[in-house]
Amino acid sequence: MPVAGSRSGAELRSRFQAGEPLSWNFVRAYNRLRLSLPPSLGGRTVLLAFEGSYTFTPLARSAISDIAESRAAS
Amino acid sequence: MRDTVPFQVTDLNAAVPEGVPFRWHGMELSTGSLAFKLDRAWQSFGVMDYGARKVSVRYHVALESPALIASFCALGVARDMVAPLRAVLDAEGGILDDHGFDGGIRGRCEIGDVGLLAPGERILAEVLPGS
Repeated sequence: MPVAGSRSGAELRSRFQAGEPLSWNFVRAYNRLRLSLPPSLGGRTVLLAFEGSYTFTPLARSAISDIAESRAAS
Repeated sequence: MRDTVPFQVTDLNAAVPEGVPFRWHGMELSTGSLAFKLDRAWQSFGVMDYGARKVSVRYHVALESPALIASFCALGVARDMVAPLRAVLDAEGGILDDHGFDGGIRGRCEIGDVGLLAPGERILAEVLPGS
């Protein structure tokens, strides 16, 4: 869920396209992590709800090639 | 306006307050509260593709559990065996009209080496789509 205040989705998109950072909240009832532990830690699989936020900061269009290189390296 | 916008993940703060129960050497333990932060040893990038209405992102994540470290230190376990876990999450999601993501951002997570595990063992993790 975007941290939007009173801004519409179209306005958020426009601002992001113009280079403004945008944040989203994790929604505890919605975002889930499934974790499977190996036998030495008991072998359980658990479903976890998480909360918090994250922020994306737009880069110049030319950064796309840098991203591809970064992904290949990691 | 740009239809494809590359971006850097500049902040990540996620938590699992209740932690994860696990068994270790016959003892029932819990990780305590888990905190997920950006692994600053790497940069985390993604692409917002408005034409395809899709976002894809690779998060480099450090998973910290202060309570677990304290518990293991009290048991005499070397601190480097419970050092912060490093993980890579490749995630994607559909872009909605409100600029949220359809089903949330979801994807598989590769978790780095964990000192507590037996050779060849791995922890498997996946961020599931919302329902």
